[in-house]
Amino acid sequence: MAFQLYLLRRIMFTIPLLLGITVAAFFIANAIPADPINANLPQNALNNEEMVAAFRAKWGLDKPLHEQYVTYLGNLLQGDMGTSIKTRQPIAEDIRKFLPATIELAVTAILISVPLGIFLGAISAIWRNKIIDYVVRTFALVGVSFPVYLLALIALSLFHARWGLVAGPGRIDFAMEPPPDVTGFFTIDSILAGDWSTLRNVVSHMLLPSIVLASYPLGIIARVTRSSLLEVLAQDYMRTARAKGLPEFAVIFRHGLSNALIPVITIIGLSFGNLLAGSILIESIYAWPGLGRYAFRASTSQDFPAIMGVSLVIAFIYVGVNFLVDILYYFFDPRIRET
Amino acid sequence: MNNKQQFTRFFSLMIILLMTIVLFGGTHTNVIAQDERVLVIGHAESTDSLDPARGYTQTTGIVNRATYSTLVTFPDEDASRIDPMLATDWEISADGLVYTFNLRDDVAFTNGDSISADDVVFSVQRLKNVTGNPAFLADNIASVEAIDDFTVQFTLNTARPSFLAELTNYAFSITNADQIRENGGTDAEDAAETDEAEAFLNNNSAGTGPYILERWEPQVETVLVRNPDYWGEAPYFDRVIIANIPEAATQKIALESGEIDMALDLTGDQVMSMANDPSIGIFRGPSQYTHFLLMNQDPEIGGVVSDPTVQLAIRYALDYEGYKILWGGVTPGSNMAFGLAGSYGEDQAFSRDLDRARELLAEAGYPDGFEITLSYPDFTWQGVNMNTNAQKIQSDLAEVGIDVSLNPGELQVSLEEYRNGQQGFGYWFWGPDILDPLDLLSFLPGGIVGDRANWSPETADQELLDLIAMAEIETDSEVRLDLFAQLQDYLQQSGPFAPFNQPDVQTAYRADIQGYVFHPQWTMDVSILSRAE
Amino acid sequence: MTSYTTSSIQGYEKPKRLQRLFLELRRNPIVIAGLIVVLVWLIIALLAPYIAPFEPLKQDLLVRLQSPDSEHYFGTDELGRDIFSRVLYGSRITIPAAFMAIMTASLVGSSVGALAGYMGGIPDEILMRFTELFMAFPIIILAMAIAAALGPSVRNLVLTLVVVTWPNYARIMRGSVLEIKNREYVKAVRSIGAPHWYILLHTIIPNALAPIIVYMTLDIGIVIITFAGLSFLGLGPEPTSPEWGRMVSIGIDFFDQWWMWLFPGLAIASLVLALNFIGDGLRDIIDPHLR
Repeated sequence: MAFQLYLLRRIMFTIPLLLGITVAAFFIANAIPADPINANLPQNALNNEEMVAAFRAKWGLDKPLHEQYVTYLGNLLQGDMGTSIKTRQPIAEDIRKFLPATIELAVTAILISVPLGIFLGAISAIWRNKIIDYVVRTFALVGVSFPVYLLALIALSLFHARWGLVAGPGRIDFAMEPPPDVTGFFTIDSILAGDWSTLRNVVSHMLLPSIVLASYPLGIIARVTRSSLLEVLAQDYMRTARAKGLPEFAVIFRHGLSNALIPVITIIGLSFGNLLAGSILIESIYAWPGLGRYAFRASTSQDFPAIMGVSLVIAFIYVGVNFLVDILYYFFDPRIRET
Repeated sequence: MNNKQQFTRFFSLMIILLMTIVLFGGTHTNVIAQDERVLVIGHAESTDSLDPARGYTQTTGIVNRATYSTLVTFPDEDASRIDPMLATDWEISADGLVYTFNLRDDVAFTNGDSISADDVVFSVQRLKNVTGNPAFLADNIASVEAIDDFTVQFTLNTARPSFLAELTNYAFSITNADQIRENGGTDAEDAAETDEAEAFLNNNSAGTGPYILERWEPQVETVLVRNPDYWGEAPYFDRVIIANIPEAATQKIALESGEIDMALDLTGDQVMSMANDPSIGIFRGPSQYTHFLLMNQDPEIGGVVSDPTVQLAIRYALDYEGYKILWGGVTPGSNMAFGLAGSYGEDQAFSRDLDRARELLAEAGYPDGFEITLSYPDFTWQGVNMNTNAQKIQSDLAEVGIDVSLNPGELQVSLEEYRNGQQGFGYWFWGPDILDPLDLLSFLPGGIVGDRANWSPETADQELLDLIAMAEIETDSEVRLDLFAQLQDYLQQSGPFAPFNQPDVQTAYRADIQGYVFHPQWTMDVSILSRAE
Repeated sequence: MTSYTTSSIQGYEKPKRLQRLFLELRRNPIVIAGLIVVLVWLIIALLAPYIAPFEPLKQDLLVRLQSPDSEHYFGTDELGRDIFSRVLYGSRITIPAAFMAIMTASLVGSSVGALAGYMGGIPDEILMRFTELFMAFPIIILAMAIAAALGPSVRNLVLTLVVVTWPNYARIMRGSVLEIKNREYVKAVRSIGAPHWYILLHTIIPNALAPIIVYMTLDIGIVIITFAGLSFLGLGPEPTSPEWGRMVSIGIDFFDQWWMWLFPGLAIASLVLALNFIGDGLRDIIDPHLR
């Protein structure tokens, strides 16, 4: 199949998915059997029917569900995600504020976990069932063996509070001014401002949460690399390569790893979505003002527009990342081109 | 072997990478200006809005206490009396309907405008007409007028002995009318639709407080700077940062490592574990929150617990001392929060009597107990984990044969049942909106919590209804004390509630912070704090 | 590379399946260690009422928050309950719940994935878009919705976990099937006219199972951990339940009382690690390519 055709097909099939997500988000948000008035009006105001009615009218909660959805979709197409009931800010603006913090963590976590995971997985596969294999595997599994919030808290109390190696909770020291807001990514913004001491501080704050966040995909990536590399190493073409007298290292890296990467790519694609949504526990412990916490707060306060907004954005990013993964598939796996 | 060499090279590369990371790390505090006095407070932010006409949360209280002033106020540490603030003195008409306040004439807003009676009128009318969360506080105000530049007159719909106490609420903050109008605000009748000043007030303050709001970044931090022209005593700190740290465990670590000066949301156990740490000071004292069981009066909903004898048995069965072991605090004598004028203290509170409880159960026809479900929200408030209490209640009642199964709900879901009066047997807490004995009426027939227990005026004793009617309007403090004592006596023997604990509230701070006191209305006043030098 | 060579030699000998399993196991001490740990937990789960020194639900405020001693081996919790007994009883909740969730999720997920991968074209797209709908949806919001709508309980937790994990199996199964269905030996079977169901069930799926099993053994750990995460967010099982994740998440607020989070945390970690090692070992053995 030609690349353009493949691409077109992927894009076309993404549209109904995104539409499906808006429907799912809308109905899940509305299926929660709680009334946003309870979450957003004080106790004494609830007996005031005028105030309750005003609240419902303001947020369109007095209209039938399908009508609410159509209105929502219409606004969405014009780029208006609505206004959060809780923060009373436009949701697009809220997300612009909270998303960069999470992306910054997730991307750093991926940057740490992918090379390290593949590296550890390869060591494990090459020295299969040797002591180093066991050591590496146990190490890689720490992140998936303990509840992540426990790891986060232990790491915080040791590396920050006890040994003072890295900065503590928050994206930047509490008493420090954040860099001028250009992109919302503190790292990029402080580089743009040429403010190196801020950059140091920001990076120092990012280290713990992103390493803890990376521990989860690290275990999975190492694991998948190991098993798929083992599988590839047993393939006929590997035997052929060896028979040709190529050095073992070249065999593994040139032929083995590149062929073993397909399942690894899949896992990275899957992990990224999890990282965005799953970072909430880490965000809570590290007082990291990211999208996970925003989503959690939205759900606990029945902030329908915000729930839908966050779901959509996370879904959109997820679809985007996996779209990329599919394209990588196309290049890594020549067989797809044949179908 | 070739591959081993290459691996060694790769390994070294990884180690160099790690070293770089470590070098990048390292704690370094980089304060904005060395000579600035900065206070950093760690707090699980709950702000819904910083607009005085719209915000109604604990955090709003802390911030607006610092950025605005009210006409009258309470003392720093409790609600024992009404003190003047922007008003110098006031007169109350004989029928209790008209309040006339004389204002200070030497106070300026942070932008230099001086305050006048018009600002008071504007602020109160705006609160009423914006119909935001705290608008109910202004429900009873019929009108507010400026008599002259520094005299303002309130007329009430009905006499209300708690009116002055209500005016201490930060919702009645006096705001700069001109400045708010310039930024889209209005106090007109249709302010609910036309007022557009909220965005401005969320990032700026328009008040006369000791601090000015520099910025509020939701879920991140709220930054206050000192008001150089404050009319009262100048505060010590130049800058106050309220950093949002949602997890109590993280607040504790941040406090111990010195990144924050105060932690507001720790549990009692966390605070007590730092009691011997010389670098940490702790404050602990009763909060204004009463934790109680609700037993629905409607037999259809409450079932067995709608029986008054069973209700009394349950009050006898609870292990009041046990809850004090868990949370400190006091056992309230009734649903009237301990600390309000005339509230029963521990000496008048219930104590556990299992034999009496069993007798009563037998009398009610349940000698072997019964099965029931306890509904409550899965929620932690001011360090009190409701799940822990629910488990304790389950174990207490098991001792008299009552088999309780627990039904924790997601907060909003559970609130919905509770507020609609659909919960048969529930566990909730209540903090008074108004620090006045009148708050007790919330728990009586016709009151908001009374309604939730389906305790309606139609079914209640006439004797009780008469008492309520008198208590509502009585202004003489001696007579009031007597009336509220009678109401509390009544609630102990009858009624659908079993208050069991009013936990301690606790705050931990760096030992060099001085002057901290907890306040039941605004939680804390940052302007009275200082740092030992 | 020695182990690789020996196992490939064994491939030629073609010993009986079970025999081979034991042979491999003997050579793989870590799998044995894993098996022993899991076995011990299973025995504990069965015998908890007989070996626990205390009632797991018995409260005693007078001994609350006591550090480990000769009476309370793992100390006591905030209500004075014996943590050792609670950890033992916890195995009766976590182990069956995690197995339930994983079995259901893998069955549902692999079926969808295998069908999608084998059929290709439009059915593939429809099934995978449907799967992605679930995957793309933030877990937290999905879990909160389920917990809010159905109430927190172990059963609903299992349901939540199935809902959020099955799509992974679909993706992985589809990926493998896509790769395998173009292999020479599948083409060969197809060319001799074997029916689709036969190709799918006998040729493709057995060869595609390895990643699924690898994922299941790792995922069962993730399920146990996610259990714990949902507890932390207040979406866990009933509050008195000595579920490990709930115990750890409560222990977070008692960080100074290290015994409150350490022992249930170690219980989780020991089980998860053991399952992982077994998974690795099993995979090495089952995978036909490694022989």
